[in-house]
Amino acid sequence: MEAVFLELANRSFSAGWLVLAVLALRLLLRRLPRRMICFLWGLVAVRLICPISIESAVSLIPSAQTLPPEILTTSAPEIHSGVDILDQTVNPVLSNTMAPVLDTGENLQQTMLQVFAWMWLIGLTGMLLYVLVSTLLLHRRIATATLLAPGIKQSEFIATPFVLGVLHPTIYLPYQLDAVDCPYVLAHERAHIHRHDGLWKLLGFLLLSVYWFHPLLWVAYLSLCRDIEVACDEAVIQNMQEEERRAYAAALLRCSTGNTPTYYCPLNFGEVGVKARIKRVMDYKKPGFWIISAGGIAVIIVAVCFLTNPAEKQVPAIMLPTSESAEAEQPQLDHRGEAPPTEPVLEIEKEKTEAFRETEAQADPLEAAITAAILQHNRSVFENTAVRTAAFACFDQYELAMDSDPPQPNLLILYGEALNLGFSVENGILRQTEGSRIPVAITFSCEANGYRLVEYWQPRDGDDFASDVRAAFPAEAAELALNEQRDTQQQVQACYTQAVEASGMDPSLAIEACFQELEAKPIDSSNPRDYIEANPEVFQELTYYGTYALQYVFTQFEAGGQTGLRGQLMRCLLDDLAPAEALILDAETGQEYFDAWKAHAEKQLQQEGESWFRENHPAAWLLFAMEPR
Amino acid sequence: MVAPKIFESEYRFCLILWREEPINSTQLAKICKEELGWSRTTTYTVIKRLRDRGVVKNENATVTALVSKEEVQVAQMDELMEKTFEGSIPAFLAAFARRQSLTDDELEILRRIIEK
Repeated sequence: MEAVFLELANRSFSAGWLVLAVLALRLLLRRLPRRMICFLWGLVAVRLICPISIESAVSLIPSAQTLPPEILTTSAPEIHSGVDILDQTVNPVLSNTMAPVLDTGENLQQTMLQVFAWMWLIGLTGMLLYVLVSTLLLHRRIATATLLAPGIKQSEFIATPFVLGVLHPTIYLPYQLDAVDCPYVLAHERAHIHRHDGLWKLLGFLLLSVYWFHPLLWVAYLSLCRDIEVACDEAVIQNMQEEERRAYAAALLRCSTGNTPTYYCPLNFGEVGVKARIKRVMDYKKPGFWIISAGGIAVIIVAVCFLTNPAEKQVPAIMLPTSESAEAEQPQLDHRGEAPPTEPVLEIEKEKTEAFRETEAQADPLEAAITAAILQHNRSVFENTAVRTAAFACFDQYELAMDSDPPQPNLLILYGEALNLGFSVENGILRQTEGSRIPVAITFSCEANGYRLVEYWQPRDGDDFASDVRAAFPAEAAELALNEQRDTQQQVQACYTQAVEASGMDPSLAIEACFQELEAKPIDSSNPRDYIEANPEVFQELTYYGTYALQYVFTQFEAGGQTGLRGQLMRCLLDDLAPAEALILDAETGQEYFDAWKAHAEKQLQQEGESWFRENHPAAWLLFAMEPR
Repeated sequence: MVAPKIFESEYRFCLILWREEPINSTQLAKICKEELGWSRTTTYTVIKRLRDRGVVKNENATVTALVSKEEVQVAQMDELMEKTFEGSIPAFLAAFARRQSLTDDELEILRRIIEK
């Protein structure tokens, strides 16, 4: 029901602009035959009834969708009325009053809309009841009206003549009607019957019942009632001389009552705007050819300009991250529903460091939007943390094209796991302070100037956690999300990179410290792996430094002479970070391994060419990029 | 007897009744439909209303009038006199004479009737 109400509200706003135009025309072209204005009121009705709309470049309607549908779910509700001044005054008020509560299903807008929708329904029912009851009572009153002639009846309970009935219209006259006035009254009422005014007025009232909340439409309906009477007056007097017109005006005067008019059905002779009508009758001059032509043109212009909708701004096709601006999430985003590949993050890291050396603005907009959303959502957790980072592993994504008119931006829904880590910097070394990882579903609206967060969902704690995830996520993505053993190395690496960049610290200090810590504990073993197993967290810390660690290792190897424990450890690190590029080689020392590794890579580069090489040997590519070639 | 109040539409109904009475109610309804344009329900409602006011009698589906046409006409005249001429006979006569040009003889006859 709320959706219906929203649609009706939007339609009424569009129609409101047309009403203003018709009122303006009515004021400016007073001499115009009133039936042309009645025709324009008919166009308003068309606008209100017709769900289909045509777009045209000449539309004068500022906006066909003042209340966008996402106003319900967005965290930043705003109207698009098409009139900038209106937008600018209303929208700040809206966003201030509607501070939504993320995480809960409903926000303030939805509740308010429900209330409005119910109020609308009540108003509609009220108006329909009014017209039903009033018509019933009127029928009872005139039940004893006596027949004067076919189609004409007389009653002592009515004050002015009127026409009643849509299918079989009957004229009702008061008994006390002067014989002198009779022919004019009958001519007027017959004009009503001829023009089927009973039907139009009924239709108008039904539309008003549906759209009762729009004040301009009340103005339109009341004007319609008056214009109908004037049009019938004109039909009667258009060929009369002044003397006869005087008689007609006298009849009008004699039949007028001071009562408040009944608006719903009978077309009263003497109740609506009598004074104005008398004046108009006396001042009447048959409109000439030019006025009618001008009027006709004006009507057509108004019809075209206001029955059509403005062409909506083009929404560009969604740019999902391309390989040029690939970031940590890139591999996952391209895999729909599959597990994220365990490729190292290296190729991407390399791009990233280069990108970051230039400007931040080069960063992939989607990833930036995701990171921003995660950080924003967890801001309360991180209040006292020096460095805040976030990373996202995408399990699945859907892009929804909104099939609507006017076209709306697509929605992009990402299902994945959000990791956020906080760091503090001690002695130039990063230390993790707090953090969490949790499955989330993030919805963005893909707009011309970027991604706009629409919704950020995460499951509840405890018993509801698994069921929430299964309910909200697609099946495969849910299983990935619930898999505790899932490897999060890539996300943590992304976080570390953010932390390094944000804090400005030199990673090589931390990396060196880690190596020294690994070497510090003397173990009676020649297998470097044992050293690693003795201090698994330290080694893991090294892997978290991703690209930086690789660069450090390469630098050390390039310098040469890494024949000791350090060399072995660095070899282990290299293979760990670049498993796809590891050589099965029984090398005595780390340095030896590295030299062979590098030579192999160079050969591959020459054989396979640069683009293949970049794809499949990101670590080696990183190495070559480091060197001055 | 003071004739009860009768509305204009009911008066026209009574005109038919006086012409046709006594008459079966169904037939009466038919005639009312033709001449007045009333539905059957309306006719029966009016019959019931007039019966409650003591104007007509409805026994065994036969309708008869309890007041005569003359009585009603007199009552209407009285009302007219009171309302329009504030009970003044001369005023009424003057208005009447203005509308109809009466000969002196006719005026004399009238005067005698009224003063009776």
